[in-house]
Amino acid sequence: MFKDLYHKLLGKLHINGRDVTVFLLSLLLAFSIWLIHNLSEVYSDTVSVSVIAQSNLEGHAQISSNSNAIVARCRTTGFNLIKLHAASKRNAVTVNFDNEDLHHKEGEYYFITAEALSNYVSEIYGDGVSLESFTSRSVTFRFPYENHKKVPVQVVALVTYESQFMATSQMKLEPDSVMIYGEPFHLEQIDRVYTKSIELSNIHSSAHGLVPIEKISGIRMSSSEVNYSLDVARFVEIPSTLVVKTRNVPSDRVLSVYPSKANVILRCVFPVTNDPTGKVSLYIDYQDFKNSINGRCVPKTGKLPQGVIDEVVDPQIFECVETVKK
Amino acid sequence: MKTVIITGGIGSGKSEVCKYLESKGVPVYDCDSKAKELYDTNTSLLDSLEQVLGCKLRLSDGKLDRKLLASIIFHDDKALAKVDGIVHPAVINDFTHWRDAICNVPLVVMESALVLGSRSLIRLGDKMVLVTAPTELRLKRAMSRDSCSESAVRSRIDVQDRKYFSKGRNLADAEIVNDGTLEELYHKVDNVFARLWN
Repeated sequence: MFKDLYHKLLGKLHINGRDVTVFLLSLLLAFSIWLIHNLSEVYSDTVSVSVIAQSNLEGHAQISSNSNAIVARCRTTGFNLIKLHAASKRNAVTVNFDNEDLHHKEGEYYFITAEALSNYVSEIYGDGVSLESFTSRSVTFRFPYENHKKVPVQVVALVTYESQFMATSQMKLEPDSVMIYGEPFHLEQIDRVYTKSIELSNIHSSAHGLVPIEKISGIRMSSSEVNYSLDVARFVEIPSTLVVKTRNVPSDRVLSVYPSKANVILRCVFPVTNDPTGKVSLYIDYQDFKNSINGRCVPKTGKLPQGVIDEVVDPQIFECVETVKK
Repeated sequence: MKTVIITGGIGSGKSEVCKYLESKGVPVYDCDSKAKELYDTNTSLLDSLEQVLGCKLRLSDGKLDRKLLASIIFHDDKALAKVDGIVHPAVINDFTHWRDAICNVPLVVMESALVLGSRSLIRLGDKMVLVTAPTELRLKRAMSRDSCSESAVRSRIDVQDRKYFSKGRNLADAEIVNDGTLEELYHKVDNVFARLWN
């Protein structure tokens, strides 16, 4: 019905339907040109941008714990004003202030004067904005007290190997410790930091890479990631039978071990250049015996010869009996 | 309905923040004055307090002897923990009932100076805003408001900062440094609340 009425009206006015479309498009184009022209003009308006301060104040956090809305009368294009008004509802801008511009107020509080702020207009409001005046004479930021300490990095890894492959040593981290910065009470509770989980499945060669360190809320670290490396080698198993010896037994005592021999499987890096069985010793330390419950002890191996990366001892536990030497 | 906790030490200006929010139509639950109200209205609460502290805490009119309670818990952390263990659940219960009775508002505010000392109180809030101010300013404000001596206010500030704010302030989602005029404070509040859920 409305369509009919529209066509009737156009007919009465002797206007072609296509002319109307062209007319409307022309109107839209004219409006766009007018809008672009007006938004390109320079206006003066009050704008507010939320700022988080960053600085290098000795003994204080790098980033302020509070943000401040910095309000100023600025001259800029209409486009910029729209952008600035939209930005005022978004997250705060982090601005790096020179230490000289931040004046100590008291304790953790520092302020920056409007005069000094005028050096940071482009950082705060963006390019193409000229400042007329700030509404506040100074702005205060709190930089919490900060201490630092060095803590080790603890690796978190889940590694599986292909059959007959294993690590020749523990996973190495570089750096193996990091400096952490934060409020003193918070640092007291941290004695190490952890890597994110490293998952390596069915590996058959050495592995290395970068792993991020788990972030801790309120703590800054000297490094956000560390290099890890894991040396992996193919091994062969060489079985042997060794006598379980004793060490550090007082001269007036005798320590007897049952059974007196153990089956030992030595895992050696492939290819094996020489037979290592004669160079491995198995012993129970007298002090371990004294510290044991009911004389049940796990034997130790001396320093493993080069090329031997692991050993399996059977049985794992030995009964020890102490007697006085006659 | 979201709950925002406004916390801050004595003289920081958290009550001014809450008054401003209240003027904007946000319902505010003042934990500290509600706790005082509960002492006067909830006799079982007083019974429990007397039981755990092992002494009479009532004045001749049957109401709580606040000065006596304050003197017991001020320097005794264990006694304070016992009192908190009884008062906080009562406050949480009261707050929950209060909040449940409110309809058609997107946001309520809980004002508490000591919320950072209680995990269960912290859990009630969706966001937490910390109001701070330089110590000298806090001293001036508290002294003129409560007509207390400087040393008395200073020792309260020290105790609050040590027990609550030094350890818990990084739990806050935003911080307002209240070191200017009321207009500046209101502007900061608007600014922080506009970004709280960003």
